[in-house]
Amino acid sequence: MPPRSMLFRQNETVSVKEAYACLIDCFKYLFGEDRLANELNDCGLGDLAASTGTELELWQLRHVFEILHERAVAVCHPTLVRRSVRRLQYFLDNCSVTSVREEEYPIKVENDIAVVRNVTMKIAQSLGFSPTGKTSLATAVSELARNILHYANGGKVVITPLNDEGRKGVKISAIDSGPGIPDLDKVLSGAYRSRTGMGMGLLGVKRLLDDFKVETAPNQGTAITGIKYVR
Amino acid sequence: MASDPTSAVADHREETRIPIIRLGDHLIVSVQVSLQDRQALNLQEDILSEIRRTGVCGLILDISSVPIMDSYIARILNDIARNALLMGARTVVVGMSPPIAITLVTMGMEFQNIQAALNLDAALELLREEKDG
Repeated sequence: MPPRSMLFRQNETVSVKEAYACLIDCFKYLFGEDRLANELNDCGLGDLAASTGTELELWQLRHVFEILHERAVAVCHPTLVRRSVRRLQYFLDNCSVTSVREEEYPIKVENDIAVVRNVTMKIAQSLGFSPTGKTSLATAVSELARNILHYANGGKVVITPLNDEGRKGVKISAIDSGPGIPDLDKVLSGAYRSRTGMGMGLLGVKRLLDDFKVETAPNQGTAITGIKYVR
Repeated sequence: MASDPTSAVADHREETRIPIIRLGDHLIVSVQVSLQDRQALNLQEDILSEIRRTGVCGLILDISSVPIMDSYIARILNDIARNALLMGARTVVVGMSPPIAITLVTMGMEFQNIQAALNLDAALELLREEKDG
């Protein structure tokens, strides 16, 4: 099984939890699962073996990587190490790893929309968004959450504060296992107008955000991911 | 049946009716909570009953306490205005914050049956002009 780091695209934003999982994957592949725990112990990183990495700072992540890399070079076949580590190194260098925790919010009842909206406002405020930026972001979240409730009968919203190397922002993901969005291209092109004419919904959200991605398939649910940066 | 706190909140919201104040020929409604389904329908009914009862020709919606306006809320306000118009009353929205205005325009949302005024005085002025002019 190839290390997980192969699956991420360049410049994708990932949380520390994901980055750490990739790192562990890579060295599990190199040392073998049983041996990894021993190696971590030997290096004095024993308590990391069981953790998910969410509490790690970015510099700690790189530090762990360096220690394990050194160890791998000493005990594993050089070609294998070179190949595996090169991928991981590439991953760490080219994906934006954000050191701040993400939170998941279930969307099951109408009150959940207000909850996730308020959380978004708070996070945006702490990152230094302008009043308009904050409002736009929270409005986008509100729209997405409402769509989940209205069309998919429940789902979740994940809010990830981004704070990597100078560029701050918030990543929002709205995920459901509902019927999917039909005619996505039409909806996003602006040609589609709902009955009342005020259902700008998805297109409106796209206009409010800097990055916007929709994955949807009939009866297989929908995952909408967007990012808004602090200006 | 165990009491579900979520539905208790919902029930409470249903019961909380938003106050409607009459000022001469106009009704003033200050929306101060994030409107939820049942509440929004109640509000619409209450406003229309009041218009019918009092025969006012102007409705002022104060949204200065509304933190976020998504397309759902916008649609509710638009529906209220459309129905009020059918009953002979024009609607003016007051207290739209710059962030909300910018967000609405960025999204591409347009109010079709509502005008906006900067404050209550301006709203009353606007409604008076419409009526006389």
